[in-house]
Amino acid sequence: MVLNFNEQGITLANKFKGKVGFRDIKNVKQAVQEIIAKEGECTFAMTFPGGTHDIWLRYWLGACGINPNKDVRVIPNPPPQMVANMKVGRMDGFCVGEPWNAVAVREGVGFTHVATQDVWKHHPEKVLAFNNEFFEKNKIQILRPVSPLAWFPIGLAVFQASDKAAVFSIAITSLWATLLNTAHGASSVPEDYKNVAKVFGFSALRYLRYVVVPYTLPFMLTGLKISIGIAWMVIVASEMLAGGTGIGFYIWDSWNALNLNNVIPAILLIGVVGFILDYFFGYLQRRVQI
Amino acid sequence: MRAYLEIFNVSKSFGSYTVLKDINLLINRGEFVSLIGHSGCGKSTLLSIVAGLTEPTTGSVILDGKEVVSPGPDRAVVFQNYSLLPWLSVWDNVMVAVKSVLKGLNKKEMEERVKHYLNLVGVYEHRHKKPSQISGGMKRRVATARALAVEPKVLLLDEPFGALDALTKALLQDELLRIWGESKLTCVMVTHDIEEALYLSDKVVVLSNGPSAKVFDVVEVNIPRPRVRAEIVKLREYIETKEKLLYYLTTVLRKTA
Repeated sequence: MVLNFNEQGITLANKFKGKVGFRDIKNVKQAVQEIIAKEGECTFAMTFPGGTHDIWLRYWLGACGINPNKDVRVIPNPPPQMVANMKVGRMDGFCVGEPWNAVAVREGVGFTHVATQDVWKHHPEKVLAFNNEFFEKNKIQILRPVSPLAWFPIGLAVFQASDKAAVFSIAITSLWATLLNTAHGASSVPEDYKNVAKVFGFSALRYLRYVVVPYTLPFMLTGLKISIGIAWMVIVASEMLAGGTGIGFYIWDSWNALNLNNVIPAILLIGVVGFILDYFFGYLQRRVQI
Repeated sequence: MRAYLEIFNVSKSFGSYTVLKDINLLINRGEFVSLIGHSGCGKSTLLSIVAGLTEPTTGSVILDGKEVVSPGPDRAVVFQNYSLLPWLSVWDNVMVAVKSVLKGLNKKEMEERVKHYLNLVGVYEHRHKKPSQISGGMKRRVATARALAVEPKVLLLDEPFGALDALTKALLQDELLRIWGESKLTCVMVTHDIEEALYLSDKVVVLSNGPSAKVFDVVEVNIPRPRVRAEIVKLREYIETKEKLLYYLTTVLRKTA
């Protein structure tokens, strides 16, 4: 998951002042060559080899007509030490995240030459990554705590219509239980049945039809039972938000009209319908149990 | 002359643990061979290698001149735990195998074939039932019918009569012998029952204790067929062979557990 965009920059030391301006890359090569002629070399720093700062820096150097592998020195350096190192003259420029570009300006050792979004507009920056094991164990838990109603604005933004947004919220919150249960079922077909399919030379289609699907069906229905329960709850809530139709809207409308006489039976009706749905899928589930 | 089923230098290791070491066996066409040994000696692993379900670490298995590289219906397996598909009826369990293997047959021929083999093992009347509705003995029969119906070259049986009561066991052993006699099948059976091995087999292959189990001896069973259970036990050949096997398994290969 991408946590943020942009927010990184390239700072140049004071010696570039008067030669290179903000986002002024055409004069960089000339300035760098002058530094090399005078000091023997020109050094740029980034946070970690192969990391994004390394990539922005090298891309920017390339865009300036400077070969980052031959013409200049590119070294790694921890972000909090960038400014201090520039101050003592150990580097002539660096690519780093905030606040270190701003600190360099405040300390008077350099100036911001470009922001990384000038190199790649809206580039991803920090990401949240999980290893497979953690993700497998917690994938429901990562998305489940998101309130169904929190999805509603996203639905509105995408579909531009409140009824479609409601359907979107319902689908996205109820989908997971069925999806994950089905996946779990299909991936846990016992070795015995697989061996039968192998020995008797089942084609992929026959294997799916006679082994995977029948084995997975109870898992699928368990998922569906959970999904339909969630969907029913979300329907009522979304209708309150979307307005216009449905029992959720009816409750909200009655409440606004201070008509509690209508609210209580509606709540009971929701309960009864939910119970019937649950019972029906429970029945189906028992029917296909092996 | 080459043997019908040849096992050459087969070894199997799981990581650093060696189950089987340099197994060599020759089995002729139409022979009934038993693999016997203490539990954990790798006899089921050997059967699984012949079936193509387990890949040997070294060596190879050759059936009728062709190397075994994958599982296939020419080596039908009667699995230790039957492995019937529980969502299919008895009929469909056999039918799905026939449909998958004998693609050349038309619908009527397939139905006749399924009917024939269900009759042969005596479960035709139960064809509409699900595996959960029939006894262990009947499941065993259905699994046997399924294996026979696809016309295998070799029938591989993994402790086929293990979990059955003595009466059902005797009955099914007789049926297996009858079917084997009629179909001229080559059978390889894993067992730990000496009497069963003697009653059914032409050869009994004794495996040494694992790890690194080897072929300890191949004992010929020179008892004339047809064999009658009550009579063969009186034969000198039977008594001597049984004593030999008992001596192997209880004295030479005695387990310390």
